[in-house]
Amino acid sequence: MLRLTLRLVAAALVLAGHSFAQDRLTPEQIDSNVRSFDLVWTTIRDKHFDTTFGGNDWNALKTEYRPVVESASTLNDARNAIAAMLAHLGVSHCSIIPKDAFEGLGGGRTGDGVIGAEIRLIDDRPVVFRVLSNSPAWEAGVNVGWEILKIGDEEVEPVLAKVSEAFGQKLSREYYMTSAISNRLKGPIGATIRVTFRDAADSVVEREIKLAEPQGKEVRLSNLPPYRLRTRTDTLVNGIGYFSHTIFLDPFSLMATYDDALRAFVHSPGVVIDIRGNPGGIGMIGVGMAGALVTEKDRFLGTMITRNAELKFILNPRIPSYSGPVAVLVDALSASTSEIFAGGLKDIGRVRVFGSRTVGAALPAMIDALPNGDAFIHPMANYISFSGKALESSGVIPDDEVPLTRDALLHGRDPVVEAAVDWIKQQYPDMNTGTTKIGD
Amino acid sequence: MRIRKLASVLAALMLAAVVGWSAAAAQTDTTERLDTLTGDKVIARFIDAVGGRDAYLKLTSRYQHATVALMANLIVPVTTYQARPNKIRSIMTSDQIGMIERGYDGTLFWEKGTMTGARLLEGQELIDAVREEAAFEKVTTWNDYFSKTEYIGTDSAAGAFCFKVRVYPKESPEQTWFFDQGSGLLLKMLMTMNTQMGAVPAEMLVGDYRVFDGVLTPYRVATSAAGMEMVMVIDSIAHNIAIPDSVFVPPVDVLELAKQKK
Repeated sequence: MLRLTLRLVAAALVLAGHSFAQDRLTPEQIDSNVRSFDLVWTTIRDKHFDTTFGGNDWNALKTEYRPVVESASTLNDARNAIAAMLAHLGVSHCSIIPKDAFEGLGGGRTGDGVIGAEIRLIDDRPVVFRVLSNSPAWEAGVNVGWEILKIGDEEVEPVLAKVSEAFGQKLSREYYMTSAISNRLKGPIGATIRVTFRDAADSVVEREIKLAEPQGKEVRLSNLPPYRLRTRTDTLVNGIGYFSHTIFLDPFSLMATYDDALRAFVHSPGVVIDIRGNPGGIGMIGVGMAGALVTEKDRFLGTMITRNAELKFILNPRIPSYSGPVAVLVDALSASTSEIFAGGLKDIGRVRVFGSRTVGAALPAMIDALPNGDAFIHPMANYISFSGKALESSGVIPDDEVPLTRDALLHGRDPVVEAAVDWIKQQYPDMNTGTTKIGD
Repeated sequence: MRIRKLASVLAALMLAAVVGWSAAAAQTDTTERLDTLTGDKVIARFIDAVGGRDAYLKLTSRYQHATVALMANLIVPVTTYQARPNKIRSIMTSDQIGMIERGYDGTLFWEKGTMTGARLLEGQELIDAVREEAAFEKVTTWNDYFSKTEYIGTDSAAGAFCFKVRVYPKESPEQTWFFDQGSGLLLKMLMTMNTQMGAVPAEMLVGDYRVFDGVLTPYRVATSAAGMEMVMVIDSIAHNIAIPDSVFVPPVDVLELAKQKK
């Protein structure tokens, strides 16, 4: 999912009008760009797990793109040429991370302001899925289930149509469409944007929303953009436990919170782990979290296939652990480690997965520094799930595909959570019924 | 965006490259003719080059602090405590990847990580870890860990002409080591590391030798394994310091695992 994220960040930079993209290059910069190209090309040649290079002649691509880098008049032109070469591989997690891509987007800095609401597509229309308490959207009175019609003076429908056309039937289509809207809801902290919604009464309403710093702890890994880690531990109807987290990063705080949640859930009849919208992170965190859900040794989530090794994601049974029914919630914005966590546990029969199909961007990756100061993220292996399926480009198909509906959201319901809870209840025929709702 | 950390693999590989490598027992003439060269002679020459058996015998404990570059902008400090004959505890800590500890008290070899929890090493992984990580040194204990050597020709590594020697660990697959024909120093190792995740072919480039307490120690080790590159650089070493036994006592949850195993 990094590839997706990075493209979006790159897009944001274009919108922000970073001047570096237009600076003329010195001879030294041209040389460092060419050396960067060579390092990228060689790394793929020597390490890429797919020795067919996606069916391309890798030498021919060097012949095609190296001169473009050599003659590039701006740093951005050079980056684009390298990225274009990498795009031929047709895999996720393979891109250039500009050295200063995130300097203007970090927490607390200009450009990082958000409205504090999550968007999902329902019937290809952008709908408010969650509103964080005390966020700008919350303070502006925006409600879950409202459909976004315009951002500023821009109608969202043509924006979505354009993205939809570009991505066709690809699994990532929904991700990009959603992101196209979410990115338009960002801007400088303190700036105000005007958003036009269709509310619960189908009336068109406008809200002026003052952008604020994102909620959650800013977390980082390598040269990746800063992310925000938010976790939520809750108790649903019948004492069913609920845990969600926004990213698989920052192991110290995330694992401690997760462990605390499992301790609290020790007597719960079931647990719901919600990773909808979670773009992934460190694979080993997913492995560790899964380890708390098994008691047997030698179980594994899947296998990484590199050129010369097959490495299994072995689960170490952890303490605290949870041995009752577990439902994992995913959607079209769940990617990478989220997919391996959900797909792997599903494959070994440990969890039941609810929601919608994931994006299918599940390759183990590394990040290398380049001579020109940029970084290069590249897949180091293919990932094959326990049942022998590659999740890349296919994603995780839930056991129970449960679509969101605007009507449900408008009534404060989450059909995916409800389906998961119903399944847990079915494991206990004597369990009382009740309302399933997650507090805000 | 799954950045496959393989933290335990990394830890294993880096530690293997850092501590405990070394060699045989015999002495040799450094002007040995190629047609009479043997693996034992190359290794004996290496032992002389790094300070000799007597220098190693004077060392009883080691504290080492290093950094490991795992990927761009991810450099992790690693602290290692070691005591003869084979006790070790290493601690790798970073906000980005959490803490990863490994240790051997002579009985239990364990690993504990913020991400993946605690576990005991077993089987082939245990055998390899004791030899490659825990053994304080192998200059004076060569016969405990290796059954034979074999000189297999010349090659190059790190820009130097090398003698190539195949070494045969007891109970593990053979390894290929490259020794500088001029200095006699070990420059490169090819081996298969057995980890919990599986067998990983690894290449290690060893360099930046510096004399400390009478022995030459490589301060830089670059490891390539499973598509990853890692570079470890030592920034400080101390020998023969008092390391309390408590340092090598496994954590409570590891002891609990051992208890359950029985």
